[in-house]
Amino acid sequence: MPNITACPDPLRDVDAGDILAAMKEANGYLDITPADALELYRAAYAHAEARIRDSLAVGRIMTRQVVSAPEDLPAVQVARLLALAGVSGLPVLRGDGLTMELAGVISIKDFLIRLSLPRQATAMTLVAELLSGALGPAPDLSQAVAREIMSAPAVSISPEVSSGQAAALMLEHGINRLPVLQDGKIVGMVTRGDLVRACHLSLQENGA
Amino acid sequence: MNIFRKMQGKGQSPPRVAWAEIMHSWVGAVCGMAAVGVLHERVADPADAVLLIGSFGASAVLLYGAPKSPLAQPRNLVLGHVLSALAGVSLRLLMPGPVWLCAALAVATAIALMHWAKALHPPGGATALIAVIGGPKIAALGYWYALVPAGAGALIMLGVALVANNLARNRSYPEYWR
Repeated sequence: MPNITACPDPLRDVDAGDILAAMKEANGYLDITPADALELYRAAYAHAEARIRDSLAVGRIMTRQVVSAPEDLPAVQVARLLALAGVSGLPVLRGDGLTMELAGVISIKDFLIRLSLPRQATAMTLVAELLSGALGPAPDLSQAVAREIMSAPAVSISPEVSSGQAAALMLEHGINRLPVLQDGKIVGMVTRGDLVRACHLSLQENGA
Repeated sequence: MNIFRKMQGKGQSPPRVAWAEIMHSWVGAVCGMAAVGVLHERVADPADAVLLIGSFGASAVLLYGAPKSPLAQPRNLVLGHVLSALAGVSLRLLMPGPVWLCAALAVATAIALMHWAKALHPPGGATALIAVIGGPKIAALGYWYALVPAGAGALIMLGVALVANNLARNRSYPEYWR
């Protein structure tokens, strides 16, 4: 798993010498010792870190209005649902009403595999095969339901986790979306798009 | 042996300020102390009043020497002197006991009051002490001591600080009012 916090960070490495240099640059007498100023700086830094981590928690940036499919929905309808909602993947739910729980995740990849394309195939692979006429007749999925073609068990995440960890999880598993579970119930979905948006927003908030 | 290790200290001392800064502090202090001094000599003294007390020398250090300090802000300056004066006068009037105890309690009470009012101003301790040991002329003022010299002197010093500190290019005063 890539370590996202390991990049060099001059802000974190401020030492007593830096504080003393800054105090020399400041105009006028500062009524504080360098040691106190450093201690204050470090404590404030920890607060800032926690604030940014919380403001970018998965629960704050996830998509709440999740399009989902019941596990017995026919595969053809799942494909239509994905196309209609304009998403490339959705959670598959088991049970009904209050006892609904996550069964798996279904995405364009699961369909591509069913079309006898290689594991790492993308939508473009399909287009290329189609244009070159190499694509055989579509397999009969008329009897298949969501449960049979979904990926399970789904990699999921909980809402209080940082978006950095969500990104790491996506990279590690090579996936684009994570169902967000709280007490075993799905409360949202976090996608790569959500992470990009959150990153952009946090830059704006910080005036960058 | 931990106590001896603590006594050695472990930090660095803050750097010396620039020459320009030293000059600004000097000019500010001259103006502030001169203003209070001349009003004392020409106005207050002839009317048997007092305007110049020792604690203003200490206030000058903060106002003109460390204007960014929380201890030097207007609220601290004015409330600090007035509350301390009230503490000092009250203890002298209410306590028949020995002067040394009265003086100690006056200073300590002044500190406590200033803490409570979020207006700690070290020269206030001197203002409280002077209320107790300042001699007959101070004693004759009664509670007026809190207004003149304490309050009035602080306001004059504040007026000079507002002008002198803000005329200097690299300074601005105050950091906050409340």
